[in-house]
Amino acid sequence: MTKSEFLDGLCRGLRFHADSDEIQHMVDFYSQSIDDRVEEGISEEEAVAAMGDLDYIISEAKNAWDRESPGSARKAGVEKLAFRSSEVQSLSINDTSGDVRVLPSPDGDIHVEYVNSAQWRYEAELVGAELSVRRVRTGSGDGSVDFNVFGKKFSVTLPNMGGLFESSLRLTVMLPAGTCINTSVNIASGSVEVSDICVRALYVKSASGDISVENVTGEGKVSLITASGDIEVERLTSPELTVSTVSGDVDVNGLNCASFGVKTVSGDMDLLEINATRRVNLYSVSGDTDINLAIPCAELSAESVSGDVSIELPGFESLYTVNVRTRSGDTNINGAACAGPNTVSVRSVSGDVDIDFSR
Amino acid sequence: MDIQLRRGILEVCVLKALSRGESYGYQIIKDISPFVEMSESTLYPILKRLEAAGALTSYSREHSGRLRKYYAITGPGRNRIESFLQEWEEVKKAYDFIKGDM
Repeated sequence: MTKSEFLDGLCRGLRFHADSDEIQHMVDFYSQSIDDRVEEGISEEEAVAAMGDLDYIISEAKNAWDRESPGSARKAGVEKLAFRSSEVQSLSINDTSGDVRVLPSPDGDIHVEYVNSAQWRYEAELVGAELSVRRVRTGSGDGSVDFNVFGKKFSVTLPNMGGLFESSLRLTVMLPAGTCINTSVNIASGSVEVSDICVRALYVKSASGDISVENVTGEGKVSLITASGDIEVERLTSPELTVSTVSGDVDVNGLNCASFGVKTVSGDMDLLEINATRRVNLYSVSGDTDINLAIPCAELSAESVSGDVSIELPGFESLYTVNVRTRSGDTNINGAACAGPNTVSVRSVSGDVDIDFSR
Repeated sequence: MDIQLRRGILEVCVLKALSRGESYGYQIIKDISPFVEMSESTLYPILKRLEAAGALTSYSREHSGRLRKYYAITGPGRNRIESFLQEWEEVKKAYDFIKGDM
């Protein structure tokens, strides 16, 4: 490792744990020690190796700072960070309740921007090749902020703002064009917006917030999960898309995939321009299902208890083998029964079934 | 060894190294290392603590075309060595007592 790589790593490892002056002191100290050793006649690489393991130095410094002034170095307000995209293979956003946006980067770096509040702060850290962003409570859970001025500690208690701070929390991660990394967003509440990027695999889970995915290319599987939020997908390409919600609605407009699955309990599905080559599986309890296929799909199955199912298939009925079973719902198939290569099977208890061919 | 005890001993070792005259990071490590294991990651927080406590002062001076930070012991720093040695006499008595009848 070169001196500049070592010092660069030190800066990056410590940037959330101390203010810039503090970090500069430490960098100067190590820089000088390396220079002093080189001056004695050893190589730069040997001098750097004599400093010890970089990860150990960083963790020791973090522990020392946390012991001396817990929470004091983290500032409230907007923070902007940049990471080299070549070092990041996956992005993981966890435990946050604010809104999350994943957008394209204006340059070749990965940018992370967030707003810290008095009670909560975000932490972004590169652990191995994973960029991990999580939200944690600040040192004092009671809304007070500690300041360290010339070695003296001051604590200021802020008025209780209830959920106001939390609702203003917002996290934006910008990914450069052409970097396809595994992206995972797992949050308790708050909306998630992913747009105009390429990802390797995408996993988004929000307990109560809405999820929106627009103009995204996934090299791997895309999974979108929410309990009460709505899910909206526009122009997505991925080998496999799975969508799951309890009471939220699902709207998909423009999908290119091999496999596509949607599960809802009471939410409605409105699925347009679906290009699924291999399989489509739709399941709903009381929500209505509306799907419009752009190309014939080898295997389409739709299951519903009380929700109505409406399917629009491209081409003539001779392309399909249609099988509908319903206990008390009405069935309306706008074409003759054929034994085509693509199967469509629909089951319902009381929901009506409507199948149309756009010949 | 107990962490607090080890930390206290290392701090006095650094002050002792400075009691012979001003010094800088790498030189302090070289002076102490034959007696106690010491690395940059151990020394840095010790220097910071001692400076905050007023036991040493620091200043930068040019050396071979670059700035080098030097450390110098202060009066309170020398007092600290003295009180450590006095306290250690008591520890030594206790040690002799503990070891004597084993």
